[in-house]
Amino acid sequence: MANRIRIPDPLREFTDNNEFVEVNAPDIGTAITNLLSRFPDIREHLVDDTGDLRRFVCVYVNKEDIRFLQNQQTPLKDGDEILIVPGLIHQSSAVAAIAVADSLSISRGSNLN
Amino acid sequence: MDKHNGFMKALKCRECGREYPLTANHVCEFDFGPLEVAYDYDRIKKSLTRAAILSRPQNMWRYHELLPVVGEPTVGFAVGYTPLVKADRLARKLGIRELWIKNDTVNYPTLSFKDRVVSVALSRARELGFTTVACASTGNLANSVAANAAASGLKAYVFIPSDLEQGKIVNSLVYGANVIGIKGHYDEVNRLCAEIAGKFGWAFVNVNMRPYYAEGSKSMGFEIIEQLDWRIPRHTVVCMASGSLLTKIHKSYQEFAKLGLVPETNFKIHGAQATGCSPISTAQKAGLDFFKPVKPNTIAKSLAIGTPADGFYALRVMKETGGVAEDVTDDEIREGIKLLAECEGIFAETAGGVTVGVAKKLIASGKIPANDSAVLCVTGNGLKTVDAVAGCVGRPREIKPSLREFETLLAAENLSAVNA
Repeated sequence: MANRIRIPDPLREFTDNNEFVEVNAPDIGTAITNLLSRFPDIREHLVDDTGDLRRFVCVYVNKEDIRFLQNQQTPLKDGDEILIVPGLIHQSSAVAAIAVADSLSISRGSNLN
Repeated sequence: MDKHNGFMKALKCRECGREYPLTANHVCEFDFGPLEVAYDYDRIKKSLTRAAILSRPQNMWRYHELLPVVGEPTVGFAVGYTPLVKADRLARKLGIRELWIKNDTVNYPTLSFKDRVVSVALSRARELGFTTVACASTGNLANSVAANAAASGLKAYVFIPSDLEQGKIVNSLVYGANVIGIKGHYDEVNRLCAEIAGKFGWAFVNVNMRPYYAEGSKSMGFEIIEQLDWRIPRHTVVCMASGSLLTKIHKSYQEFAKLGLVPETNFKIHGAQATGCSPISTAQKAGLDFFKPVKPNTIAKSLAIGTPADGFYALRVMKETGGVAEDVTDDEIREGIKLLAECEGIFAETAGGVTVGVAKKLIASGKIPANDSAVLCVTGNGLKTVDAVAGCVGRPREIKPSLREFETLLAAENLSAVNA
């Protein structure tokens, strides 16, 4: 079954600048493992030393936060879209969160000194 | 003192500890954690003594070593050192031995605790060379940015939900700030501001200036300790919007203890929310260390943040100190406002009603023991949200300008009082 993971702008340098990465996985945990094995440089930004997702990395399936589903055991159906959203972003909707996430790198570049 | 960084060392990620230069930046590029100001406490210890503090003017800058500006502050000289009121009548009403109100309803110049964070953010913004400042706000912050920017010659853009209380809108417009009403909740305002901050390169006090801005809240905690004759209160009740104030009160108590300015004693910090926007208190009561975002629906608009940026850390502070969270309905908020006004002569905005209402619940349930002592942080002035209570404080009784009419009115009321 095919799903795609949407990579936010600040992390695309680790996915060959791809906005979307295709994975085949029965659940979120496997999908993330597949992503990390294909693009190992993204690992340290998404998970900690024990392999848990970092606190400020949120994952959504079809715009629902996986912490309110079954976390990494959340099952995937064909065509489900996975969103990875980093930052201080617990936005009220995944769409809003993505907009903020994509702006992070720009925001960092705007410092005056 | 390091002439470039003052008593600051770096911006430091609260998650991984990576350090960054002291610029306008708020997110760690490694793990996306929030950045916080790290200080050189060894040098601060040599400079910040009780004697030094007592020799300085009574404003928040008497603790300047622990506030993130390098030179002299250039914005908000007169902010802070608001009264800590011993609230004996309210204490009797709520059934607790000793109660104090930290009264930021009279903070200068815009009557809320936000003047503390804004004077720090704007002073630091000037040091970093910004000439335009901005904020996403539920109202009080907009007022403070507008006023303090006007007084210091900075250009201001403030972004607010368009359905805010009229008082808070006028209180931003009058200073000549560019006020932009967004047709949406605060969280949507915040999202837009994150995008604008990136594109326009302004100093957004609660976006890219957030690490500095948030530190200003510590001054409230420093003052509480000093005004309690150098002790940390056993219980502190703090209202929560983003949760930042609660975490900074905690940090202020820890810093004074670390610097030896006050003995290390046990204290609990409790969080207060409105039931109509209670992501943090709901999570705390469920024993979770993360919260579920909500769409706010409460009269406490200054606390109506459904996706609190510091929610995780507020939950951690409550857990670490043994504090709890509670929330109150709109009716309980109005009752809290009235209780504080009738017992202590302090007219707080809705957030103050939340704090008093929650304190009442925590005392009644024994979570704050009746034989103990508590400080309630009251953060904003009721004159800004009169609509919230206008319908529940009664109406003036009207009579003709005649002594007889007044005596008749009084007699009727005494009679009804006797019969009641």
